[in-house]
Amino acid sequence: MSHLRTENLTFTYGEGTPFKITALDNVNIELNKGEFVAIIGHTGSGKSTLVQHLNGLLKPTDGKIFLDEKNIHSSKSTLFDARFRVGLCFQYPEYQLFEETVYKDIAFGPTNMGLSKGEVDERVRKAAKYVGIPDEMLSKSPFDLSGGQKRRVAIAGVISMEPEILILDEPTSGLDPMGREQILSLIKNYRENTGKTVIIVSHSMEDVARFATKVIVMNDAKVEMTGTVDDVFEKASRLREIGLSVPQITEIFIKLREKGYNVSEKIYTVEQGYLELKKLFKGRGIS
Amino acid sequence: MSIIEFKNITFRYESDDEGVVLAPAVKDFSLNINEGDFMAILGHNGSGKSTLAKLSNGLLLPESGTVLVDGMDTKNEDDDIKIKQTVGVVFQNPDNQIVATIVEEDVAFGPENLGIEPTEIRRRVDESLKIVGMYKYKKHEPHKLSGGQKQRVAIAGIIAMEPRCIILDEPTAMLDPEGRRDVMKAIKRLNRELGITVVYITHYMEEACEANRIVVMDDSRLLMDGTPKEVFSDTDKIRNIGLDVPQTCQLAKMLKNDGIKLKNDLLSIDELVENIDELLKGH
Repeated sequence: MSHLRTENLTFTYGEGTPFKITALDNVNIELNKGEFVAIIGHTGSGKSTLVQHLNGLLKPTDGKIFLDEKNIHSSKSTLFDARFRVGLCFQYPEYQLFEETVYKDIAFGPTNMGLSKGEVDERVRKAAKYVGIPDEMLSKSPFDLSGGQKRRVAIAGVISMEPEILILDEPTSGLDPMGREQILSLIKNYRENTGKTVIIVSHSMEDVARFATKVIVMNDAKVEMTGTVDDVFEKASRLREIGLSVPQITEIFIKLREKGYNVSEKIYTVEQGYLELKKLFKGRGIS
Repeated sequence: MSIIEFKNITFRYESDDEGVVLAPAVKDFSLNINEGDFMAILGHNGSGKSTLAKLSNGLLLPESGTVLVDGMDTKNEDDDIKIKQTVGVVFQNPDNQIVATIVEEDVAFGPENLGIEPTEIRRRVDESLKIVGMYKYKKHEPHKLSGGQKQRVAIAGIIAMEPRCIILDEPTAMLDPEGRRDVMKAIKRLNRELGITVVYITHYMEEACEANRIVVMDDSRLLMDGTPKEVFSDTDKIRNIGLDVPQTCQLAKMLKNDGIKLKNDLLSIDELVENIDELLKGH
């Protein structure tokens, strides 16, 4: 049984006007518990529109979304249920911090869920710890923090609701390499420790290659392909055609193969590349 | 010849409501940017890169030290317009930089404000849009363009003022791979074909490799200044300050640590592939 799936999901902006745009066109995706899903695609391909449907923020023009095989739009209570079970963290979430203190900001979600004060407190501290926000920072104004810290507070605000499915729309954009690494490893740890499903929307093919267990490629409002990292990145030329790319390291191996070397093309991380080249050098008596 | 000279500048943002004095965002910083340079500036968040961009054409003024733009002191208000005409800045978020509802009107905004006559504005707008590859969109509404397209319109708006130097503060941070490629292509043309000095602030190491000079900032100061090959060959130093090197450099470094005799200054994919090929030939 799938955990979350869409059935012929279609969404149009400006229906009935000359500016009608189809943002999603018959999208069918299926996610299982515990997967680390990456959604990639060029700007305007429908990625953000898709994830905003998954917790019922947008209502489909046509088609359905099922959470544990229940249509999330079948009643008010199923929709309410989806909002809490599927947590969505927008792009540039730091612009959405609004409370006086970091604590209150992280507490906003769990408080709205109707949890007791004690439970809320426990969740706030747990979430803050997850994202590496120390206790003494909880009483500060979120506006006094650095960009990377604000981003982590915003993510904590979603994690504190303990959603079964955590969705992050481009969680690392605009961050420096260290900030990027921190966010990615906290997401990875969160998934490993809780067994929850994580979905990220990403423009970084390098990051996708390192973390995803399933990749969904969007192109012009449709699902272009779905599969493992291997399945997707081996179609390098198609990815380039639709405005994407493969990791730099993968390019190296594509070129070595063109030169006639018998190396694997399924190399997506520097670590894999290193091992493959070691093998190549060793095979030729160089080490 | 220098187009921008930073001479021992220090800058700090105003203290907050509680009167806590903030640490300087740029500290005793000196740098000459030469006419015709394509310079990339790297540094982690908070290292002072964006502050530097704003100091370079008088959007911010240094607390001490001097910034000279083509010899003019940015503190001298009489030269303010000339300075902003000489050095234009493009920021990260394209949505914050578009002012008009039609692409060509947006590009015309800058030259209009400089009091340039209409026929000349027409020429500049068309020319600028062609340079960034957006001419066929001149009658479009900017808000319906993709991020990469919007950013190229923003760049055209700066080019239309015919600056001698353009500073771009992470112009591709919000773009997809194709948008990044298109913006990069436009910027390279500005530098190579029009001879405009480009200062390019980025977190993408691959993009920085396209520059002829890289400046690395750390903790509000200048840490490194050299060609991409010089800067990225010091993998450890770069990584110690929380930055990254391109994947090719990482890979080459790991292999060299194992005694494989690769060259020291491999940067591009082709260079690395070529060098591996040379080593393996005859074995």
